[in-house]
Amino acid sequence: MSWEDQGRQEHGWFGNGTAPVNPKDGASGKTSTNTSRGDFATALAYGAIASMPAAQRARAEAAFQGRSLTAFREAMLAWMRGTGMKPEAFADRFFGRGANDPVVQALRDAAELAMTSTAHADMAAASGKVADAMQRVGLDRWSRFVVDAQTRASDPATEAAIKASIRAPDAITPVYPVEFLLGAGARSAAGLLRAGAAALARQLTPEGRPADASPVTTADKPGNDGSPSSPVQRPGNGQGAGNATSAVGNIDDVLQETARRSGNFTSANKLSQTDALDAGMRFLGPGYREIGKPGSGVFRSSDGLRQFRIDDGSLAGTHAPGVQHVHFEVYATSGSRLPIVNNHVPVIP
Amino acid sequence: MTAIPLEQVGRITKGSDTGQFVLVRGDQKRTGGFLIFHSSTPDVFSASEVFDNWVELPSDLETFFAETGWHVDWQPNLDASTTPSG
Repeated sequence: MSWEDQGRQEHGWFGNGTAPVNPKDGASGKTSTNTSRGDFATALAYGAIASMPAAQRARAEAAFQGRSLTAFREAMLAWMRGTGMKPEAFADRFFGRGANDPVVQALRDAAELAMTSTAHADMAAASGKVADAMQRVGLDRWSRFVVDAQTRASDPATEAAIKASIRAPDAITPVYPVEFLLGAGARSAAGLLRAGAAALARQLTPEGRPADASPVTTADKPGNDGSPSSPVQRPGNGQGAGNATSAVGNIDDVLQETARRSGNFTSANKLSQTDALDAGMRFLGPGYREIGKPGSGVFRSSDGLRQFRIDDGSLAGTHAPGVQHVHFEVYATSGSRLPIVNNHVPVIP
Repeated sequence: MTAIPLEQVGRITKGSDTGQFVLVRGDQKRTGGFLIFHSSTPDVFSASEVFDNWVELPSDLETFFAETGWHVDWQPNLDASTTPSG
């Protein structure tokens, strides 16, 4: 079954298939800490989309197209840093509005929740606040709103106000747990990405199948692709540790190998958390849903043929073989329980 | 109720991964489903090569095993966390 035959969106949800936000190009995303914050802000955006009523989700996605997502990410980082500002100053500096403005209140609440989040429920609540703000602003106007907000947030005077409001800028660190769920939420299938804790050693194993291998077919079964087993391997085995490739640009590779290969295998690529999220969203397409227990981290496409799995054990690397990874799985039929493809993709922090 | 035991290593005697070892873990607290691990050695939780699959329901577990074509010799004396000698 080819990728196209499965009916997925070739263009992906957020443009050209590259990461919606490059963690390295954010205004303040120069350090690992800020990169994590950036991923966190991006997670809020995805969570907000997912928490929208189904009928509005496509418009919500569109509201984050183009520069909007980057602007939101950078603005949210500033709002998070600015939660120590007095409400009036926060509202005026960031939005040019009054402190009682419901949009301001919703986004300030979201920023505060993001800063203090310790549980999935907090993330869900923060995403819900962002969604509420989007609704109030209007989905058609959201993109312009966040671009304007980002412009205000990057104003030197605003930055000065932020710094004046905090004692030690670098001491502010979101306290959400390592395994916080991007999407946060169970009922809205909001979560798709969890932050990773430790760096993974590069765990590449040779592709056992030529690049032009035939497409996955329903006849294929895990382990029957004729290739040597290429399972996830434990970190610390000396295989190129520290030799991680750039995650940017690997999303398409991961999706293509998932479409091309069969059985259980370890991806020849590694993805950043943000890229893993984007890849998962593209893989699932619109209308996906969370299955299993709320907050399970197991997401199934609307046609039941694709599964993006970021369960706690896989993401944290707590179950064998101890490598942080996510799963891209393909089923022959919606009633199948054995995936004909199970691509184990290591995640880099 | 499934006849497939949890937390017990089994040796696959027939099917696509004959000779490998399998262990099913209940994951109700986190995902609400079941994780199915299989590796080339019985030390499933310390092996260097492990694959995992996931199903939601006990009935899905039965279906999963049926689809694999696996026949499994469940071996209660095998320790999933211990690397076998030799």
